[in-house]
Amino acid sequence: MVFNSLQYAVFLPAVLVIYWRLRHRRQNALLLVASYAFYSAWDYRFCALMMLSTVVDYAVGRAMASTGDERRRKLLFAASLGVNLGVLGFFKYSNFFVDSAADLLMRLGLDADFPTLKILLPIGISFYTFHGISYTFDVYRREIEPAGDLLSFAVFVAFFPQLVAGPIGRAHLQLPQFERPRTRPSSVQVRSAAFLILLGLFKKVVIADGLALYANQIFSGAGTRSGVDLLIGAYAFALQIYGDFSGYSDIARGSSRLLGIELPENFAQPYLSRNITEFWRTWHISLSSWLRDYLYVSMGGNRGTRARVYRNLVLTMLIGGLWHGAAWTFVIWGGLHGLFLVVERARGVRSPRCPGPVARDAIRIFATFNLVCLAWIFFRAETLGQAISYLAGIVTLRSGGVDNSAVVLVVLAGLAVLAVDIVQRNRNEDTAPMRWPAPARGALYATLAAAIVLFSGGQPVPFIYFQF
Amino acid sequence: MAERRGKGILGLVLAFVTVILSAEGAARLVALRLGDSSGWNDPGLAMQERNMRRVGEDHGGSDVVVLGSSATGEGIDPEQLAQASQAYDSAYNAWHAGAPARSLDLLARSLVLPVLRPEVMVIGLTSEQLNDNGSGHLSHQALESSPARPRVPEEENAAEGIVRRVVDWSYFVRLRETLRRPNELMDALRTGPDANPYEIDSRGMSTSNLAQELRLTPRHLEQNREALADYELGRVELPAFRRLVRRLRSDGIGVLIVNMPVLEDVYSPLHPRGIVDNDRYEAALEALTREERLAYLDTTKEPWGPEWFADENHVNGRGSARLTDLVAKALDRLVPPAGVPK
Repeated sequence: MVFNSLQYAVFLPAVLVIYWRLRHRRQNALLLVASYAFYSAWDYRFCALMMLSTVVDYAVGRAMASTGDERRRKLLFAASLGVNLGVLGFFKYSNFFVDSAADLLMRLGLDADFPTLKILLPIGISFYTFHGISYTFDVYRREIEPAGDLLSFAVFVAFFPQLVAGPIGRAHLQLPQFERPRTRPSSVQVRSAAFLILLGLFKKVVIADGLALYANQIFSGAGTRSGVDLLIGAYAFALQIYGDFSGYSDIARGSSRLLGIELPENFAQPYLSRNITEFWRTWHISLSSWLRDYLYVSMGGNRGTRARVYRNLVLTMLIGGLWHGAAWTFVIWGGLHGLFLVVERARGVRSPRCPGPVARDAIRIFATFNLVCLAWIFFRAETLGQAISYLAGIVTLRSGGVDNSAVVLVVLAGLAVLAVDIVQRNRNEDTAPMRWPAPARGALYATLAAAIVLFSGGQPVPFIYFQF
Repeated sequence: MAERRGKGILGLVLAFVTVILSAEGAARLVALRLGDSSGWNDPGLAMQERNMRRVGEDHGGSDVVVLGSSATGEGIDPEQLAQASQAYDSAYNAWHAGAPARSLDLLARSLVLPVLRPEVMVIGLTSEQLNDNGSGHLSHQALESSPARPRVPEEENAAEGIVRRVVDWSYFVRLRETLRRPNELMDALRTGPDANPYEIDSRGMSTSNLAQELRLTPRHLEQNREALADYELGRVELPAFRRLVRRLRSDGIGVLIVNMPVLEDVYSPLHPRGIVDNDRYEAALEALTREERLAYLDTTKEPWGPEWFADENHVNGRGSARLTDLVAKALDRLVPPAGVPK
């Protein structure tokens, strides 16, 4: 069941109607049932995996809190990490490592005929295992108390609005919300939630799906397309993935707000960033902060020699790349971002706190956007060969025709994204239009709704981040 | 306070309604310029509908109807077919650009069977039409949101019924396939209502490639690669195809399945797994025709060199004459079902 489907349009209101008639514990029970039903709509067989992860993390959290023996705590923590990363590693990375090892051995002239398993990737596995890991990490570091009851914890892990593509839940922020009774959202909250859902649908259906056709066509023809076409394709994908993922996050946050649960912000106008450091503070915030808190800091973070800090940065970004998928293209995408961050760190570049002169900021934003697009080429390409051929086509300004429809749609989508982001940034609020005069709001809602109708029809297109 | 709030809500609703009505008005202006094709999201489909209705009204239908995608539309000449066949007098080519099997099923139910009332259907297929993941869904969407869809109301569920009513009333919804492609919209507005981009003749045949010698263009190769992307068989299109042929058989209509010729050295490598995918397609098609006891003409068993093609999956005039001849001979081997009213 995807957010942009008729089933979800029936599912969410049905859950809401029952939910607000129940008391706290029954609300949690309903959320758990609804979340597993939501997940089962893809594949019920993997529910057991999520249950296993939930029970192990809950038991480990309780056991760690009940002992003062540091060695035992460490062992318990390692066991929880082992289960979570083991499950993730088996389902997501086993074939990648087997294939890569076989490839390497073959290049060395050795016979390497390893068996490859046919493993289905459970949807959302990268997200819910990271929910669980964040919890055990926080309990281990004594930053939070362990969950008081299994039901609240199970809902935290499986909460349907964020289950399959985030934002990645952080125990210290969300668990207390599930453990405490919730108050009915105010009319302002309901309206802002509805606006977030409408905006999210616009980003997904109009911007992301509208551009997907062109991005797909241009990437699949990377070897023959003209340089200009390839550049347009890279921009199209940059806008597509932003619309797709931030649209998903907006719908998740809006749906969750209707249930009285606040999810963290996942995007803060990333394409208005003036350098890559700022980009990573505004893009997929729940992942970048997760990687910072549990990986980068654990490796030493900013402490130690320059070389050590640079190593930490690059390693964190490489693992961040690999988190997206078991392919070298994702590793290079992460590596490129690590490299950009190291260069900025070496030059003393920091994330700007306030706006500078407009022209200077515009140049920086444009340059940062293009660096991000360069990395997106590796992220989107099916293979390294395709990415290299794609880049070669742009760099050598390969001649050929230009797909005018793609140019027009990329420009229109770019302007729409820019308009939304500028309005949100100026007010520092993602529901800024809620403060507009009523007629302006009415016109905006109608425009968004009409655009969604215009670009809808046929089977709903799944969100890109479901595959991660 | 309450009065101010009431005015606010009124202002919001008025602005909302104004924008929606303006969009609808603009779509109706566009529809005035696009004429009949405005309801079809594809001028080729509009042309086909007009032609079929005329053939239905003037001649009471057609003995043989050819169904398929553009490969069939440019490949099987209905005039020649009717002349060469000993058993049938008239033929019509009811192809639809890029049509996957689902579209053939929908087109047959909604338009071809009620309007042309054929005795025999010739269904031409290439591997892309049975691919569950390719770009065929775009062609199917164009057909689904066209007036062809509402003409089978007995198959609608409640949600589809609501959508149909909205489509019936709103030109904005009906025209969305066209409106969301600004360049194509501008082209359509420039060309006007008589656009015939595929040069479809009065019997449905596309004549645009008849005089064309082989020309392989990167753009066309890429389009085919898109149509063959993530090649998968058996989930959606093959069952749809099975439904179609069973329906035809149960209606007493003869069926001839044609595996269409392609320039194999160029076309097969466009599949993700190359020839392996193409072989899987041919095996699946053969198995289906055997299971359903259908007449089957596999034209790929004959040698087809570059001289027969306009591009990798469309024959040229020479190729069309040869292909039509093969189909006519296969048709004559079919025993026409007895007692089927014309």
